[in-house]
Amino acid sequence: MNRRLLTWLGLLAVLSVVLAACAAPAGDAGAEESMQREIVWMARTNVVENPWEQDVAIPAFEAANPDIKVNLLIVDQPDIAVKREAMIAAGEPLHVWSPNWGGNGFASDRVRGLLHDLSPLIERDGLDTSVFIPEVLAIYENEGRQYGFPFLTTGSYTFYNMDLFDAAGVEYPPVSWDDETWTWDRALAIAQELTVNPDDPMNATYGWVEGIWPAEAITWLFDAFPWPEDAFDTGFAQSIDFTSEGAVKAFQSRHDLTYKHKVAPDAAAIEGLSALGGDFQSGKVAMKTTGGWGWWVYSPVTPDVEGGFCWGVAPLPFGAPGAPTRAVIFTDPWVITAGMEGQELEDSWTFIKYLISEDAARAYMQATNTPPTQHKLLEEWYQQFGCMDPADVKDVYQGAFTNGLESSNHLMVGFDELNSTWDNLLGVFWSDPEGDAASLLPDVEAAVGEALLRIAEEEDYSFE
Amino acid sequence: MLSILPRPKMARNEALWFWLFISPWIVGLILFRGGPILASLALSFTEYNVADPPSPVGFENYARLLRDDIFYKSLKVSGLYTLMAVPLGIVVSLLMAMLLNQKGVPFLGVFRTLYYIPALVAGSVAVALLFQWLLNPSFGIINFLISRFVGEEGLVPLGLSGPRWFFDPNWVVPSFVLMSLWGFGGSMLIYLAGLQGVPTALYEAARIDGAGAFRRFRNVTLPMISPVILFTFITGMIGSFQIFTPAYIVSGGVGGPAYASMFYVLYLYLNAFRRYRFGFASTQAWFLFIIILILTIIALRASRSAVYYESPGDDKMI
Repeated sequence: MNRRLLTWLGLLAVLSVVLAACAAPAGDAGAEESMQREIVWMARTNVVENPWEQDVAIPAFEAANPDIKVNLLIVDQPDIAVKREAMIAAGEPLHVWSPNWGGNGFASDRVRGLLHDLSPLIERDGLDTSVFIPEVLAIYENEGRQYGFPFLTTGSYTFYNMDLFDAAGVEYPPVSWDDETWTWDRALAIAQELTVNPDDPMNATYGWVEGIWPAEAITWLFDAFPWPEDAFDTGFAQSIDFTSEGAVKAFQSRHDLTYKHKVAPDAAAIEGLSALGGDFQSGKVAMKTTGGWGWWVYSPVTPDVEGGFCWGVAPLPFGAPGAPTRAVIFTDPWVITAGMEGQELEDSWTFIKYLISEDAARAYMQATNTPPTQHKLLEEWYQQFGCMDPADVKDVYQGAFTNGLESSNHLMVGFDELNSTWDNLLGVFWSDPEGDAASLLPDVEAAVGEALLRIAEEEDYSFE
Repeated sequence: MLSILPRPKMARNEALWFWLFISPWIVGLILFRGGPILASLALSFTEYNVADPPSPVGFENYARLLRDDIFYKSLKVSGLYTLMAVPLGIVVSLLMAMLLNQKGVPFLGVFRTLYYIPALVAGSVAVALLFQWLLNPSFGIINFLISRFVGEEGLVPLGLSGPRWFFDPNWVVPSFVLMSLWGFGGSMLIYLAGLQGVPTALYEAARIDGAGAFRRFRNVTLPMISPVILFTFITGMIGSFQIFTPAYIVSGGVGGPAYASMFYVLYLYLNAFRRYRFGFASTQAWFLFIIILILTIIALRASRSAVYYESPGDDKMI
């Protein structure tokens, strides 16, 4: 037995020697690599962003900073918060990331102390923050601390298929957010004109897909903003108002698009169209009200590609005359993990400064079609849409910011639970032809209210 | 008498090699399973959100769990699913195994392989997406076929038409049960092995005694494979309580509509990784362990008179 054991041990030793011999020689290249410090940059899986990160941003940064190596970590957006939590829990290095992809969003991460305060670094380096749109930069400032730098920002809009409008001889919606003739009823009338075969999903063309997100934001159009006044500043609320006249009308109006007016597909048909490459992109939808990601998600749809068409962008319609806040604004920032210090912090900061530099921001904008956050680049971005006049793009894009507020998924602590609560209870309503908003919404209001109080209690937040 | 004799050298060697080869698994179990299991037990008595160190809260998480409405909803969804999916899975697997256990069927090996293949991807993201598409009320082939048989307006006067599957809270669990049948191949293979282990002499004796096909199945096949049925029942039950991937994919992680797809483990996952309530989620995990343990003990106790073991002491092996 001993002899056999010795044989095995001998073989193991030989194997170790062979493996060691096969290892990379510790030449100059190895030495140079070992001199490099590494930072981890977490990004979401995205067909347009990832090539920019891998082929443009990182090579350019590493060329300018040869002593820093950027390790890009790409994660699917629904899983990104999970991965981040696991990394932080395990003490794995994670330097630069964006808090609004998945999970609870910026407000929760700020309250939980996951974000590094960048203000001292900004002050030390005399960084010129005036290049940013001030309102957009301010979203990531809290009590005098700047937690992040925005790299893309957009409102919510009505995207419309110009070819379907032209074929039916229907006038395009306006571009001005102040045009009070652009009402819910007018949008509905257009949708009715453009809807064909609504009861046959395989052969239907729908006039309007209403996809404003988060679900609560439909109330904004009807002048029924449901959050308490200071909720978006503090990140906490004691209640939400889903039972006001405007809120009930908002949810019922959206429901009626499908079951009363038959101009919108139901949830099942939307899921089917989405699986076919996207409801709006299918060319079977005349108008879609949704978040501003349409600017870049729909950008591959052009008249030059097969099945493509010209599309335009309009404001969200007025559900109630003079509704002051209609657009949900989505702004994503780059942040640094809290607790970073010394060289690690310096390297992360160097990388952030590179990402927000004019050249890097322009390269990102051109590669992804996403709206920039810096004044200077906006004029260039307006030129990127072949089917729309740049002046019209400017009007409609900018109007959202004077008629909108940052999204609750960025500003409310514990958003995931809130979203899950109202989505669950509204899910039945959206699928029920007999659904009655007035009888359902008190339950939704109560359930979300309970969740809000639970979240505040967990975070030891006092409303006094 | 035998125990006081020295163990032969070969036996000792064999034992040594056994421990040598099994040690990576044992070390792995202790480090990568045992450690987290104990950690989760400790965490269940704390409030822990990753960003801050765990702070002890005693039994507060357990008390809170019992006050949580969604917890009961998730328990109901998983319980209902288990109640439907496990028996149905056993019946379908057993029937398929019996069909594939026939003699004289050409290309029997090919059929066995073909029917087993879907089990390789059962419970995966791909299957969830596939069924989401198949069961889409507007575009899915299942409702298309139903409408062909009963007409667009349904079967008048019964009003029978294609369900709205994942969009109707009443149909959500049955839809997942249907999806679970995709993976019947695994159990089918176990039943096939069990059926082939039934001595043919028993069937011949039964036939001589005048037993028909059904009597032979009831009085010979079923008792002889009853340990296999018990095994698939218990493993199926454990697996059903742990269903996660299909629910996460189909509901987009929300568990809707109206919490109809809020399976227990999905709710646990949401609490841990979306809401950073790791202490509370650990409590949920231990609660699930206790539920499964109790149900397993009940199943084993209840099966004592129903399961036939050819050799005495075989029941100790489960």
